[in-house]
Amino acid sequence: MPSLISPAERDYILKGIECNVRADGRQRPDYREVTIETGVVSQTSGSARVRIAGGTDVLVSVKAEIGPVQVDPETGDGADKGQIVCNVECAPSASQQFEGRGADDLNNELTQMMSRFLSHNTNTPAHKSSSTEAGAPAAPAGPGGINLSKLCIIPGQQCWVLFVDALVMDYGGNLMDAIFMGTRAAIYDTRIPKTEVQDLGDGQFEFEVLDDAEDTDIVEGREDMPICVTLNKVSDHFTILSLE
Amino acid sequence: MALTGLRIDGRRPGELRKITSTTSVLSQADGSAYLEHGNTKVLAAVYGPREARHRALVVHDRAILNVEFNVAPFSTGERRRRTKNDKRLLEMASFIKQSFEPVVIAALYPRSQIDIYLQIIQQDGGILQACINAATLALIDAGIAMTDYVCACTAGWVEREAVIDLNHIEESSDTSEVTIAMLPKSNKVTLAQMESRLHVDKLEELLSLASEGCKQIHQVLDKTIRDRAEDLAQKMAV
Repeated sequence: MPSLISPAERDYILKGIECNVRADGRQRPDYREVTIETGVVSQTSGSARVRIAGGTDVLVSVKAEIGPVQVDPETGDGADKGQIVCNVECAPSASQQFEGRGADDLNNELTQMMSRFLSHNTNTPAHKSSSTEAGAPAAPAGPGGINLSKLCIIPGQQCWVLFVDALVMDYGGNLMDAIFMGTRAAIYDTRIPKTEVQDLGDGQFEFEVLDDAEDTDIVEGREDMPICVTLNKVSDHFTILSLE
Repeated sequence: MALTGLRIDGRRPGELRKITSTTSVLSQADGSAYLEHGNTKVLAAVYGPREARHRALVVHDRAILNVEFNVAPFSTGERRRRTKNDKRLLEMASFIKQSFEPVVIAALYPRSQIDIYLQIIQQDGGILQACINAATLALIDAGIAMTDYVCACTAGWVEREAVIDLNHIEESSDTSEVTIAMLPKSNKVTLAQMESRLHVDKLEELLSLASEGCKQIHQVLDKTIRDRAEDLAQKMAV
């Protein structure tokens, strides 16, 4: 978000960073104070609100719903996996530029980025061969960390779909960091009802969702989820980005 | 309605849900407020008065009001995404705009625009009233001149009894419901909105009940604003 600052102000900030002191008293690698609250929206399976001192405020919610599995027509992959559907929305309250359709580009960009991180899972044999990372076969999960296979209820038929919705309510820098932290916290907070699958024979299955609020599943692989830190290069130094 | 005369969530017919509200919750907006009516949660942000975004909209002797209303996809029981052009959202925005137009002293800000952005975070009935109340707080927080508060309250008939501040379950059980927005000082009504049929004999009772509710809401909103002002004054004194 470009804002106008005077040459003197600009000089003050740059010289400060050279001396490892920033306008708000922090050193270069210092992060602003982060507040994370979980379980803030009762109608969701899991939710978290992340606030970074100085403005950024993001609410992330996870809703688990049952849907059909999606099989990749080319590779035949995905029959035994659940899905994660991401969506990022910047509310106009965050910045006047987000009014009307103003936030659409940013929304799409952030949504795509999140989906790329969360829903690609390389722990199946089909993906292992195409994996380009050297040490990847040893790691149990892909970049998103979440074990999608555990979200499958009946292979080839039904699975859990985790809808991850991030709502940006206030914008004051480090947006991606806040979204990632919020997503991780919300997934940590998520409880998925247990299901009981019955084999009816002839390849027919039936399942029942147990509505015991005490006895629920967590999202497996949640501790492997990525977090994100934004760095800015100011002259020759890297700085954890403060305000915009 | 149970035999005890209590409603589904244990309230009496004329009882409001718990209202929690805070102002100045956002860093970028000129004024903002967060308001909860029970489980209904709304965030309101006000920008302005500022230069109008579109030259064509400029009115030379007063400010124009612009309201944008958004619903978070996770706010309902079932996840549902609405597009920005959803007619229902636009209708709500125009209701809110209408209820504020007579109150904001727009003549003080010629050739400018005041934006009110509303975001529903969680829905449990009474969205319109929550939005109007939150917008009132945000407008006051932004320091926009108004002649009075605008307080909104719903009332409806649930199982042959007039009740106020309906929650989602009461709303969905085929009730006739009316939302009114009132100026508590002058007792004028700036908005009366109803979508279902209601016998004309029963309207009077609903309106008086809703206006009672508005007065109670006014006290809560006023306390929020006064507490905030006191807090600011104390901080400035140091």
